[in-house]
Amino acid sequence: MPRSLVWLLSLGLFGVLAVLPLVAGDYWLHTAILCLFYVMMAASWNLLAGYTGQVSFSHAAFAGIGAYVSGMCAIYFHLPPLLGALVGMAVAAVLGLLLGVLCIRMGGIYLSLTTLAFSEMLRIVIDNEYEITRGTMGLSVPFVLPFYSKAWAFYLMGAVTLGLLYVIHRIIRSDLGTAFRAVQNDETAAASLGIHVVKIRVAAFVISSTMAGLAGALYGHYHQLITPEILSLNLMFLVLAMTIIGGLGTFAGPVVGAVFLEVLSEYIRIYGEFHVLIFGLVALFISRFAPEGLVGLWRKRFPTLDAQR
Amino acid sequence: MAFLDVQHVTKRFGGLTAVADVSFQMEQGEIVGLIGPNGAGKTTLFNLIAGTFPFDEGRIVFDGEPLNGLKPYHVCRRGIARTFQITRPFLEMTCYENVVVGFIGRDGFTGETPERRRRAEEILKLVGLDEFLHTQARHLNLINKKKLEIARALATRPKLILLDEVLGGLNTGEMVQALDLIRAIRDRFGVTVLWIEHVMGALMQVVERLLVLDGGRLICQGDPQTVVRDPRVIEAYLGEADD
Repeated sequence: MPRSLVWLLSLGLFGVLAVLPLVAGDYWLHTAILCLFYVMMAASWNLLAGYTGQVSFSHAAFAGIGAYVSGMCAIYFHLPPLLGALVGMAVAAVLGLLLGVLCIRMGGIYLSLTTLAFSEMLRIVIDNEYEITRGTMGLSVPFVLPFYSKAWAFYLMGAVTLGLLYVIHRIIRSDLGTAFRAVQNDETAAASLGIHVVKIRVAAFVISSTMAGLAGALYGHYHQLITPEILSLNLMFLVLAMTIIGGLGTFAGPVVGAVFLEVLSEYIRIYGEFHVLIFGLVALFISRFAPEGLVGLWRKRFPTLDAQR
Repeated sequence: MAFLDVQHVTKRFGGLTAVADVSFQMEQGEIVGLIGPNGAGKTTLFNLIAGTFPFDEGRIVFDGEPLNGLKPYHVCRRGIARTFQITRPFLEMTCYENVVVGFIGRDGFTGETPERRRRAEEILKLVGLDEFLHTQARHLNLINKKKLEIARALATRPKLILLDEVLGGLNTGEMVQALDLIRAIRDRFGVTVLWIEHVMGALMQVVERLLVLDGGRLICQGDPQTVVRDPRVIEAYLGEADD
């Protein structure tokens, strides 16, 4: 895309974000905040799955870790939610490092399976340790800000989301991002050129898990109720579908996918849990027939706008 | 002390001894050819030097330090680069990015500097890929993919480069380009070359010495003209004479 168009689009986006709380009702503001959460989740999962080719199923679990750690910090240690979110992030980073070091050497499908197992184990522990976590009843936590305001929560989440996207963009364009893609393309060749493949993979896993922890913590404090639903595979597959439908391995893909699917699911909510099934089917078709997702289709339609990638 | 000193190296895969008690030495600046029939263990020997597999017995000393037990990325940082028999460029990345991976592997995350840019362009120009700087590697034809592998290997500032069948699948004109390139690697970059090749005619024009593997054993080595007349080598390639 030409630089001027990028600027114009970003400016437009900022404008929309700035005025949205002034014009949207409570319901759509809530939907917009959910969109921001999903954007953070999908974009950080994409950094791992789309740029290093590691399909992890523990992304929702790390959001859960962020949410629960932050929530418990607020309840048991009376930390302000924003400080608690930082603690949640840190714990997600450390657990990400441990799980990464343990699982990533296995690679491929084994990484998917072990992360799936980890995420289910964690959910079961949280379900059962109800004395600390309140189990399926959910943990009531303070609001993300000292005062209750959906509009300000939106601005906060919006700012964090933009910050996160900026960091992801910088990583993709950096040497680290180049190393990510080299490992994804061919790890044998990357190793022969002096790239420490395992270190690069673990780095991606830790960065991605940390971001999920932050997203989860903010989400929990916005809802004021943290339930094991956050760690559920439902959320995991939703994030996966958003990324794939939007465009795996593209910067804009997960953003487009997250907003598109979240808004769409508001309209088909009457069909209940079936919407996850539909998203799953759509994701399947997209990955078979348009592996670069909606963003890829757009690029095919308007190839001239895509001078640089 | 020899630049590369391979001492009694043995590698077994289960019951199969792929490389058996191989010893040879190379001096800095040499171009040495490694030949042998299919399945002789040539690529396995490369993989042992490059650290892809650990070996069961023996020692490899490179530039005064042993390579035993090192992983491929570590061997690369010691100054040994390689290409692959079946090319493995980073298909979804541009030629320029492919070369940058070599810089990152050798020098770490330095970020994009004018100096690095200049060197990447210089290397791609040397191998003749300057017009494909921002072309994704998957769009390249075979000769250009092979050139890209060499470019990428050169980016790691190797002292020794292992070339695995660079000429396979190339036509005559392309072979002439490839031979010039291999001479340039040694003459312009001072890189020592160990080169597996089946195309004997071309190999003989460039190499100063030949090693011959057969059934995992080093059966002969020395001056190319002498080696190709050696009865053991002829037998390995053509079978026993029945006169």
